[in-house]
Amino acid sequence: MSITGPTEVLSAAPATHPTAGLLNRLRAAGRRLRDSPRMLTGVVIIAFFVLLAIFGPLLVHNPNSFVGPPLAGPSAKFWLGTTQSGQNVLDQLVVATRGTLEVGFAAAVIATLVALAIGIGGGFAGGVGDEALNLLTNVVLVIPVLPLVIIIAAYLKSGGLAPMIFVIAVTTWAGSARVLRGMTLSVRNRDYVLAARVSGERAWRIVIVEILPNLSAFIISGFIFTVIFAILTQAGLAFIGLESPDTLTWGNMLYFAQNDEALSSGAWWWFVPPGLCIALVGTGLSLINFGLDEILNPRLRMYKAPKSR
Amino acid sequence: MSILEVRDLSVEFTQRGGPRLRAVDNVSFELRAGETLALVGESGSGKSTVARALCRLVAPSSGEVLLRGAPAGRRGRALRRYRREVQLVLQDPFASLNPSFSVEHHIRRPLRISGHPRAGIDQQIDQLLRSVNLSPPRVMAKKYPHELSGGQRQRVAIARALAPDPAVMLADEPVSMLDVSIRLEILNLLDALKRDRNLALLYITHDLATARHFSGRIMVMYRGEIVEYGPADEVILNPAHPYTELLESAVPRAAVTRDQLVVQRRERLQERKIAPPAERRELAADTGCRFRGRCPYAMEICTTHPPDFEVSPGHTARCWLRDPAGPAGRTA
Amino acid sequence: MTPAPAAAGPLSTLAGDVVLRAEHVSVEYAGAQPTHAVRNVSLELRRGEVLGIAGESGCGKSTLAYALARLLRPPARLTSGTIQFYSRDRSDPVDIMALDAAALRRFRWAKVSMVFQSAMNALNPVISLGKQFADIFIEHVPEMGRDARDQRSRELLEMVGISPDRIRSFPHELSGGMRQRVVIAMALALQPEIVIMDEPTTALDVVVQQEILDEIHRLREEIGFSIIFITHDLSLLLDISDRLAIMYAGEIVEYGYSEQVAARPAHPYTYGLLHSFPELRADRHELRGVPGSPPDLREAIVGCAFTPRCRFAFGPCPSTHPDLRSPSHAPRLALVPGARQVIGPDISSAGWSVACHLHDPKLRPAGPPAEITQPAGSSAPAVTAGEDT
Repeated sequence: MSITGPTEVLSAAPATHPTAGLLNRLRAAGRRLRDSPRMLTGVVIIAFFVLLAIFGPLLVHNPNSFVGPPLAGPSAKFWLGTTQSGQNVLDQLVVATRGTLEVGFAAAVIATLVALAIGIGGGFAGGVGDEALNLLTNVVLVIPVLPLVIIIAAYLKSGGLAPMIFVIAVTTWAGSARVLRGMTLSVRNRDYVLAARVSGERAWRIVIVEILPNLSAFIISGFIFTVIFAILTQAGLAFIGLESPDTLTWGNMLYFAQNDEALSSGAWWWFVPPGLCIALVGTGLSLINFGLDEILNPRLRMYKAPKSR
Repeated sequence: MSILEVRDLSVEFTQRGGPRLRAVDNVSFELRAGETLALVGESGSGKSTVARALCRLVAPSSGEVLLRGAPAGRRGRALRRYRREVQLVLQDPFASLNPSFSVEHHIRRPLRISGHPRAGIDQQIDQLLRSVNLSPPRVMAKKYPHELSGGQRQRVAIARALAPDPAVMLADEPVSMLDVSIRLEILNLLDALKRDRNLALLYITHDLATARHFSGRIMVMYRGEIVEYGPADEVILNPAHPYTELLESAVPRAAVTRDQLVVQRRERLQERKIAPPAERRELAADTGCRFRGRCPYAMEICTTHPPDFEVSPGHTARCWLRDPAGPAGRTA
Repeated sequence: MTPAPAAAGPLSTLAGDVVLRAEHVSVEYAGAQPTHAVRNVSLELRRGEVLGIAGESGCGKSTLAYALARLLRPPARLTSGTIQFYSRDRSDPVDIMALDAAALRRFRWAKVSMVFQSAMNALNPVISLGKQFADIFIEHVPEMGRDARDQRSRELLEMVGISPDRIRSFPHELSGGMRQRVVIAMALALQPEIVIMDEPTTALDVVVQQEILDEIHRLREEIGFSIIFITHDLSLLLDISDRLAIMYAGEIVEYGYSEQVAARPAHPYTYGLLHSFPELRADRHELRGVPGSPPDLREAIVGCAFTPRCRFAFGPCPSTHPDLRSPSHAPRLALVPGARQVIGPDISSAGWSVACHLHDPKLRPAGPPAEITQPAGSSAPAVTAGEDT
């Protein structure tokens, strides 16, 4: 799956796509991007990391090769120093970017799709099906996430990033699903949905064409939050050793750093950069979320009113 | 010619932890081609529920709906066929159009669903827009709902309802949320379309004056029942049911002088000192006449549910006062 | 503070003193292109009277109401004009816009209160009625004890015809009509001198509406406050107001006594509005309304704003702005049969103004067209039928 930022994913929709109205709004929003420093900052940060994830690994050498003296501080040759085993921290960081972002976005995409199917599907269908799906959602929601994640991860500890993606997706869809169901229930009774039904429109078309666009703002912001959550959870899981060591992610770097006593030996160049990157990506995504909210909801825009009486 | 016949239609809703609510109780009427039937009632009377039941947005609990003599389709293809013939215009012009889509989309979809081929659909859209006086059609077609005024949106809603070329049009308070100065335009438009296309029009409203001016027959609904039914002029000028009388007296009248107004007001306030305001008098009357809590003429016999009595040919009222055999009721 | 009993009818309001005077008020909504929602409006509210403001969506009446109560919030702001309040207790007027925060808090609700359009906008759904009333007293009359508050709240409920035991109910437990009554009671809690009502009965059934309006009149007679009543329903306004102002595109286009306006509308828009209501019992005839839509208030308006929709538009209308002035060419006042004649000797132009070139003797020496001077309510076959665009 290619990693693209949120705005790029949406503009990939063809012009005749039912969310054309939304598209127009987003295009206008793009123009207003300049006016929102928060969003701009967020976009810049994420764009940077995304580009790094895509192109970075092409520019660096194999991060797992032992190229330098162990635990050496930053120098002209090794901008971020070396690990305990003499690997180039910078190279590792760059390659790990791809792994981390892959997990984050993939897990978020899957979780969002599941939430859409269950939340909207149930909400629109009503009746017994809705009751059943609602029950499922509530049960999954109530189960404590972290212990569940740990248990599942412990069992699946092999095979690259897929287990991590799966685990996070499976445990995070329920919150969104619940909200989406609520929103669907309310949109369902709006006059234009009724009008579509009276026109003879089929159920699936009504869901996609009439209901989905109304939920889009929530879906997008929910998606971004899920990405943040996925990245943080993954970092946490990796840190306690639950991620397979053959993949390189920021979380894993922290794990190795901790394992190899980087903290006690003061090798800050090993664990600070990955931690900082996680924090930066989290911040960047949050800023984008705030900015999107401002743009898509005109009422939140700050008016610079002249000194009023 | 009778196009849609409704017989003993009832719609019940289950309330959480309460008795079933009969929003529509054994309602019968017919809609005729080229004629307007007005359904008058206040909020809570069940009139909107009747419209929704006729469109199959809500399932009736009992009774039948016959379109050209055949029972209305319930699902699948039969339902789709029925839907092509019976269309609905809703009250709120700001909610009945999806803000994400252009006017064109709103009209194209029903055309496509009712089987119109892709070829020539643009002309058909233009024609529909012209028939509701939205000109120039190509320009209006590209607009989005937020660029239109309330009146214009309502015209789009009407055009959308006309797209499948229906036989029956249900208009649920089509102008109550529009500015007063343009209500007549829209009502005149509906009237003209009804004549041109020989539609059977059900005009649902709480406004007696427009109900009278635009329809041939009027039904008055109160708490789920039809309490009076007859030719428009008859019902308005000679109301046979006390509720109809009450509705009429509450309509503000322009030709009355200030002195008269003050006097009338004092009279009403006096009356109300004796009988408390409307809501407090609504009894949970499920037996007997539902209006007796508010009726100034309530009698002993009103604890039994009245049947329909004929007041004059074609004019019925559900009130014991109209019982020719009973205590000679007061004349209207 | 015993309230003075109000005048028994509209007759005495002519002689009544002014309680609120707004002069040249303009309100603008900031934005990329500012919207001029209220343009140079001047009006006067007299003690004990009901002043109606009629107009349709976008005419600025609600904005004006908020401005008068000093409730405007950004992006809306007052760009010019003064609003003076003449209290019963003081001799000199108070400039509402000049009040500081503390004085404004004392002023609000105690002197001028407001009844909002939807009761559910004014009532907190999670707090009982009793508590909401108490909040008002706690804020404005801090020395009032809890028992006194409770007592007064019950009195207020009783006053609007609701059983006092409902004091512990929540808003959703009441019907629409009852909620609106509660809102009115809350507006009257501190016995203000002015109550501004913004479409208080729009969402209600016609029978309940009539009851509530009767209540409002009764309360006004008992307590003696003045009312500014805002609505789009002109027929309603003719029923309840003493004088009225018709607003269009942010301006007042006609201003006078209700009876006069009803009998002899001077402005073509008023004329059109009056003909938008089919009479319930009159003979059927062709009805038309006022086709078209109001202008975009973001753009500067040249000339008379009503020109594109006006059937009587002539020469100067598109280019020259008509000011609000008394029609010195007063139409003959052979009023509608039965209408009162007793308003005053100088009735012809007393307190009546219109913003229309048709009434300017310099521009139309012959006076306005005969059609417009015909009394409304006569079954004049109004217009030729035609397809409206």
